[in-house]
Amino acid sequence: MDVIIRTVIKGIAPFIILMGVAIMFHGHLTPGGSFPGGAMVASGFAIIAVAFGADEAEGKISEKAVHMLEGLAILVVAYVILFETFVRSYSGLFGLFGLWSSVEVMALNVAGGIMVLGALTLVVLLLLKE
Amino acid sequence: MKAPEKVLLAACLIAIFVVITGVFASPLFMKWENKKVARYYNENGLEATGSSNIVSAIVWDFRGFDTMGEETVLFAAAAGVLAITGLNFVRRKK
Amino acid sequence: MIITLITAALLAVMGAYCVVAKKNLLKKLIGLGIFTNFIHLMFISMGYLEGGIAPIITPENILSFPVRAVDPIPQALVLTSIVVQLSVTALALSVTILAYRHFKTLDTDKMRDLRD
Repeated sequence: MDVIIRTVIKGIAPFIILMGVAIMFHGHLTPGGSFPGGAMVASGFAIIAVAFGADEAEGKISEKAVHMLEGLAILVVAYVILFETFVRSYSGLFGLFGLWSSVEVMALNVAGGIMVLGALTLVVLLLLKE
Repeated sequence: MKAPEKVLLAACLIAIFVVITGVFASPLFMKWENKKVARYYNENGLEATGSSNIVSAIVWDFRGFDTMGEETVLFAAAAGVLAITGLNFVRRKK
Repeated sequence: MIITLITAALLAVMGAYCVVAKKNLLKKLIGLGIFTNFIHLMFISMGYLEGGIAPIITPENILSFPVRAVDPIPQALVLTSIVVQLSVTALALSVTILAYRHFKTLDTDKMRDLRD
């Protein structure tokens, strides 16, 4: 697309991805969690794919890798939910309102966020080719 | 659309409007003393999981199997879109 | 709150009208999205408490939290429902692409006539 749009998006896309990852990691302290954080990172990838065209985006974010990442993330979510009593014993390591106050909810937020990110990016990249 | 069909559509839409504001805004659904499960989650959420966000504790700990089912639905939808728009994963060597 | 419930009822009327009375297939999908948003708004606004705060515990409000917090259960259920609406919209759009390739038009009146 245009030169102005490409230059602006090259400067702003890393901040969108960083904001989404921060919301994903602090899901047990502030409102947010897996779904809003994953949606924000997918928006960052989608804005890169729209500005630079479908062919060049496919070289950077391949669809096969995203599909395999999705499968891995859903396995992690399933295992942590089924065996969550073992993960819960690590909660409250360094205090009550800190980052490590709940390992179980933080790990599940990260895994669920990777899952949502993978699904949304896959749908955007596939429907962009039509 | 003809005239009698338009009148019927308008009457149905007005009926939806009246039923929704009449039934769901009444004190039957909005009284706080009847909500026992929500009060239990509010009081015991912090010491059961250790997370300050009660909504995250509900979604991932108290009702974790619902979230597991929702992730399965998301994976199935992404696989369905992949199957419809077509992509060759396996290259056959000849 | 009464005002959010009246807004939700207006959204219901608009969403139902779009699904029933429009002929383009993409506009019907937009109406379906509006109708799902009405359901979510009504569900969350049923759990309101007078002068309530969000269900997040901070070091300031840890003592008076069980008395003043709003209902956290509908918020958790609506989170799941938003993801399900997203999956339904994605699959409906890809089926619309298939239908366009077959019928060469997006008009539902003509899709009824060209029955193969």
